Amino acid sequence: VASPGPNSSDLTWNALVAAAKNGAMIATAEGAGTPSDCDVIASSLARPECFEAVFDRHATAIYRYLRRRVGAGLAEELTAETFARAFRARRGFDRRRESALPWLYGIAANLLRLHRRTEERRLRAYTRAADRGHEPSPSADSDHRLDAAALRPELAEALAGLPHPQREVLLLHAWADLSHEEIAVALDISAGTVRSRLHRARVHIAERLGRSGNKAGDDSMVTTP
Amino acid sequence: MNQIDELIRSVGAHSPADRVEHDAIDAARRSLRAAIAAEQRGRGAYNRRRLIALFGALLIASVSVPAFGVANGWFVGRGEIEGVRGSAAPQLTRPPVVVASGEPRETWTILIARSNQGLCLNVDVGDGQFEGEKYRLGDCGYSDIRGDLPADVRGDSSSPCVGATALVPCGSRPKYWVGRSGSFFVPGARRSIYVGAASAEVASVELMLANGETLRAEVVQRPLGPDVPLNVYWAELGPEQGLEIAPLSRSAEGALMACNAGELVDEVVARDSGGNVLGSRVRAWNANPAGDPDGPRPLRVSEECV
Repeated sequence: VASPGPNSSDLTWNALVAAAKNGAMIATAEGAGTPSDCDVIASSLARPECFEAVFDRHATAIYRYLRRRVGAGLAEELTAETFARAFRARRGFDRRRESALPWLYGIAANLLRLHRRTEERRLRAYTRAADRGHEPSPSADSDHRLDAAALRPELAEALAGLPHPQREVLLLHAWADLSHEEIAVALDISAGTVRSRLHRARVHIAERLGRSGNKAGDDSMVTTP
Repeated sequence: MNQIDELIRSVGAHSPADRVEHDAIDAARRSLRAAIAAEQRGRGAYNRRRLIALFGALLIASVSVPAFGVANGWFVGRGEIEGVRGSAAPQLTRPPVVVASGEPRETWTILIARSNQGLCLNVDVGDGQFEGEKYRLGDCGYSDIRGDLPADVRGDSSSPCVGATALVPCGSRPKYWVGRSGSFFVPGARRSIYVGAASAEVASVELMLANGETLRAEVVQRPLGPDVPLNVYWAELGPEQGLEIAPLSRSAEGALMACNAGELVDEVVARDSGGNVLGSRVRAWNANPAGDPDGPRPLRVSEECV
């Protein structure tokens, strides 16, 4: 994989940008392959426009994760903020990492931390709606209506009741499909801490579901990570 | 896969890409492009430039109050549309005027000036304590303030501004009693200086803070001279107002960031000398790019900033 520096030719730069945007395989003087996120970010230090390739690759994943967490309206804002912050902070990107996705999830997680009360209110709104036997009010956005139908109230309540660090780890694992190691990178914690939080989160959820009379609360559901 | 994980995974699964998603990603892309354009423009003009990321994600929030500072030079950006209006630096037509200054923990000075691009509104920050440099924050551009303003204060009415769905000539948008408000983060003092222009008829300005408090701003009458019907208002935002303004730098990001100081103020209300409300402005955002008080209010981006 080519890793051009500031002295690389325009031809190489442009080819890298085009390839990164298109996801295509390219041949460069240094070798062949699709430039990694690391390569693209390194390129963007001299050519800021290169950074848009990172956006093209990961914006949908980040947006969908945020939308599941806080709904469509706020997800739009937070997606924009995630990439704006990533762009400004790209010099700090750990170049030992090939993929920028865990890093981006980390930035998104930091933003979500500012909105944990919003998320908890949202989750509890589902619970209240279900308790009343109907979905949230017609004024709620379509996201709420869709999720309310799918989200079991006891699970929503259990998620809302999780300490934020545990919820973050659990949802990065379950919704963002990050490995323990990737979550550790995203949240700047150790992999051991990730495993510990994940375990505690699962136990918490299982206990809450068990108390609500749901079979999902069986101890057998909790396995050691 | 753990059964709990399976259960959670099944919740709120995303539906196939829809219009909402498409629009959201488009908006995020525009915001990123604005940040990229801002950096590109800055590089061309100043080699010693250092960037301080101060503002939030909303396109309008980030471009209506440009906050990239350089030492010893007027900001090269031009108002609302970074990267669109060209890269020429503004040329001052008169010497700058000091509106106010202070030094709570770090020196700051509010400067305004007339230029070939319109009113320049800047804040000098730093006396060398912060990373050993001074910064000049702010910009020059079209002024949407009511009144008969000289051309080098009004700016080019044909220059592009953000409209509801597209770029529009700045002059086609309404004019307001108060405007061009922006916050400038003073890193060493952990506070922001909130500055804006107002019509000459405005005698007092109140800031409706996001924490529910109301703060009366200082109003400087006609700082550009008696022949220029324009006032400037300013206020310090910080712990005294119950606002916690602190860098939000995160290890994963590495940049110095603050709560979006613009989000600390929900609305700016202008009153005349009799105490009557003349008009107001709210925070600008994508769906209300001019911050029109009758337009939609933005969602709170950093609710725990306050």
